[in-house]
Amino acid sequence: MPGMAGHEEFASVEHDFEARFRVICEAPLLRAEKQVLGTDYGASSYTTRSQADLLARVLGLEPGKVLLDVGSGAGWPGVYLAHSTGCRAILTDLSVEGPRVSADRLEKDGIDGFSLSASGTHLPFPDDIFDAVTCSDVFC
Amino acid sequence: MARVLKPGGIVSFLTITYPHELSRDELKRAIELGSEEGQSGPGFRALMAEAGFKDIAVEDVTSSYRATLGSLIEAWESDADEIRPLVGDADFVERMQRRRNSRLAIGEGLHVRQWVSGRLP
Repeated sequence: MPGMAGHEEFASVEHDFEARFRVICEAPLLRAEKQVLGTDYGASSYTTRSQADLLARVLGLEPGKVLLDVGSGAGWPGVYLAHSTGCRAILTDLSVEGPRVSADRLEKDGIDGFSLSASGTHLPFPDDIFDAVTCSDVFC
Repeated sequence: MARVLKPGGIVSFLTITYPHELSRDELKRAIELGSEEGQSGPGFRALMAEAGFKDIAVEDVTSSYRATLGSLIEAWESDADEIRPLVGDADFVERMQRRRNSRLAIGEGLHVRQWVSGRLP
């Protein structure tokens, strides 16, 4: 049944992401990330640190603003954007493990914000509450 | 995304996509290279306008993406002894192959990375 095959494939992809996020902040992977992107957040997108810095300016982030990072994985770049600008950050990801990792980083860095597991197509928020929304390599 | 943004709010995102609406042969080749997850359609400028955004900007950042792919391949190859057991053989091989295929897709004009921004009125 084609429909069943599709569901099985989706479940397999989801399982892969959970497994990946469980090890994403282990030292060898963070070394590679630091070397390639200049970051240590457990990045799962191709956004570089210089692109994230420009992103902060494009989004007009500053203290008092509220940012939503959709499909944030383990927290890159949402956590960094909040840390570097002083804005509040809400992070969502379809996985369970990604928000667990990003929540730890938010707490460690003393950032105002939270992470939760949620679908980007059914965001569990009321209308008109964010000043800025971003995502990195989520639509592909 | 537009629903949860305040009036005047800004959306800005980076994404890997197809450079244009692909022909049947191009789509077949893109799928062969593992690029089946791109968006082949009217493009983000049109989609953003349809969603009500103004001041829409679409910038091509493919060269940076290609460089990042190359650096990732090199970094993982040079530290394979530690990364491979961590992520598992199958995942290591699959991700490295996907990165190499993505570089091929870029070279053949089947993959781009775009930076899309817009503001709600």
